[in-house]
Amino acid sequence: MKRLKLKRMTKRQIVSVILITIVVMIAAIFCLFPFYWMILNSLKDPDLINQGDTSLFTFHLTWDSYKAVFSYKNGLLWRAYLNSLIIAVTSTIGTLFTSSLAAFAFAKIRFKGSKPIYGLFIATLMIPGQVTMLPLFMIFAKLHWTNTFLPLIIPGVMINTYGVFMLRSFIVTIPDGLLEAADVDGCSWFRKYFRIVLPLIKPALITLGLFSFIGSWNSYMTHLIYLSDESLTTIPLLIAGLKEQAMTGVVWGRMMAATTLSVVPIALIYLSCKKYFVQGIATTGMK
Amino acid sequence: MKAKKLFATFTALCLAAAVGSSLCACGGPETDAEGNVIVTMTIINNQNQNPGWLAMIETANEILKEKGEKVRIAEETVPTESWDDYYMKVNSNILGEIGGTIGRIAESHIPLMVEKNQLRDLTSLKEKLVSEGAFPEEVFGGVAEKDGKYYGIPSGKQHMVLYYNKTLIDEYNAAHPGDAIPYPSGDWDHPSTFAEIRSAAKKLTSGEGASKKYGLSIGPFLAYAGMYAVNSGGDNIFNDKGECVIASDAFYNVYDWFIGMLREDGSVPNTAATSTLDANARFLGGNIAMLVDGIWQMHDICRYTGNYEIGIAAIPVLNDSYTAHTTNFSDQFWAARNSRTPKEDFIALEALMSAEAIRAAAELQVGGIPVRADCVDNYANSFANTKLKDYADVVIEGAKRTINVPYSTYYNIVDQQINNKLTIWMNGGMTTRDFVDFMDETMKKGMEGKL
Repeated sequence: MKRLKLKRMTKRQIVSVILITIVVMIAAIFCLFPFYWMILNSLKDPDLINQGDTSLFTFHLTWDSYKAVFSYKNGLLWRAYLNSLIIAVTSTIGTLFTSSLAAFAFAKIRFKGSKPIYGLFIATLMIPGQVTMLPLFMIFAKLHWTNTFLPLIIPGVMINTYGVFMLRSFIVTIPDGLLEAADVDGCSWFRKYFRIVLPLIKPALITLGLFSFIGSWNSYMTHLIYLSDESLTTIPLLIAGLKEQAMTGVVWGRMMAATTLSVVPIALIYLSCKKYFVQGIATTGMK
Repeated sequence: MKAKKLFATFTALCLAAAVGSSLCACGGPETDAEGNVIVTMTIINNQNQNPGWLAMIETANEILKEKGEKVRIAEETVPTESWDDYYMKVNSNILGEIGGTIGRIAESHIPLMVEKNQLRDLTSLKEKLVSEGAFPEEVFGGVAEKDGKYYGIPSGKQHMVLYYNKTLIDEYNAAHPGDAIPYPSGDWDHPSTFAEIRSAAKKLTSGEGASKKYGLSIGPFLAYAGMYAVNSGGDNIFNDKGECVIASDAFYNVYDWFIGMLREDGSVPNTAATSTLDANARFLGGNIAMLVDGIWQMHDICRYTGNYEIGIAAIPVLNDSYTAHTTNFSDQFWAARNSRTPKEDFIALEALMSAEAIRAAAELQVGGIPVRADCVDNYANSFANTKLKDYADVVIEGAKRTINVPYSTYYNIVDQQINNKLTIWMNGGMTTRDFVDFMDETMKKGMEGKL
């Protein structure tokens, strides 16, 4: 089939396909280079990095940096992984549940004042996170939630304006006829939500889930101010802490090894959900 | 029905978890198994100083135990190397009345903490320490003093010096016998001049691209520029009347010197080079031959410069008619105003200022020159078995020639705005004169509260 297609293409079309392929390949190299550089430096001899070695291809690779990361503070990495996973998974599931419920209500339930309420709701997107960080901290400190995972999970679960906005724009495209047919069958609102809406917005849910997971996984400042105990450390805090001990400025090898390890879960999730992710972005037009 | 039930169960579980965790977290001051009140000390995750501070805390705890005090100090290391992030954590801790109730912070942040009424008045502790005779009166004050009250206790005095790689200079001299480079001068009364350092830096620069070796690293930051201006016959940012005098010949000369080495000679690494590997790491690895930096780097330099022989010199001056001055940084111990354990905080700080605790840090070359007079020798002697053993006198003498950075509540925002323009100037986007004038205008705006 492909051959047939190529045969049918004009010379001009073939040239443009080749040109586009070259441009995309160059863009891909630019995108992939930081990852290559990170992995290369995580495997380089740490002394070579300190001496300013910037060679792009080296065959003197060593696991020293990874060994240092794994043995750092008696394997604190695993604890950090677990803590980051607990925070990221629970906040992602919670966000998806509440955001989809709210989005469904705004998109398909007609009630008095729904449009102004939605407008006000969306307006909160314009408030920078930094502005609300300390007031939120005060509230959670009064609740004695500091040094627990709750302030890192609950706010995202309670309200994720971006998530509601994104899912609503997906849900409004679902034909009303489908829900009306369910009405005829005697479905409640929750049944319509669970049985009809959720399966149809799967790509958008996966896209939002990935954004939410990455946001939570990489969050540094909120983790820094809420968590103090070493047993509660997360991956971003661990990476920042890795600069300690060796005391030779930034220990790039260890930093790169830890960063490589921190990227693994996100890369795995992305690769396994790539199909839905692309579909979600294509349908909602968001990224 | 099933969905409704699921929703109700989920909500009930969330509420139960929230109430449970709230109740569990209530209680009084933390105590250990022996009933000692735990005072938490917040320290930054400083790359080269933590072993010293941890040794200091350990020794202070031994002192407390010997004295029979029912107080122990625990450390809380904030996983950041940025004083701004550290302050963010301390700020939230104080607001939320959690975490460390004492700590150590860069003096640049003290004016803001005093202004925000976050710090406890430590005047009585300062007076007690002075009355014991070990602490000279003049080490206190500065940014930590406001309206006759003291809100910080200095953790040591740390000033700038010029480090140089003797091995690299010797190698150059061996290869160029007719064009030898003298070692930079360690005599603060007769220091090397700007021209001599520039010439040496140019000669020590070699190679191109990724393998390029640089002659000198020098930070053109406002906090350091003051000492070079004083070493050129100018003022340290402000004159005696308190007027900003950055737009003066002294500053123009200093920044001309910087830019000449950076752009004309290429002997100083640009921002692109230091973004791949910072200047300190490059100096440790022999990629930079001379480095102007603080004495807080001595711990690293003693241990991580491999086989290189390293020397220490005075800060350079414009010409022979000037003596050398250096910028001093006195980071401070602080105590939170709203601490639930004010009495214990005071006892803990007093133990940290004991001769034994200060010596524990000094013996690891951490904390700079001790503010306790009876610990200075320990600091100097700590170099006896290191590669810097011949330079203790240069370091100690430098501490007598210090000037202070005029930190204030607006200084940090001025500094931030200047740093934003710094890269543009370094990359040729503006002239040196325009850059210095911009610094002057920004400082004046800061003074007038217009930033």
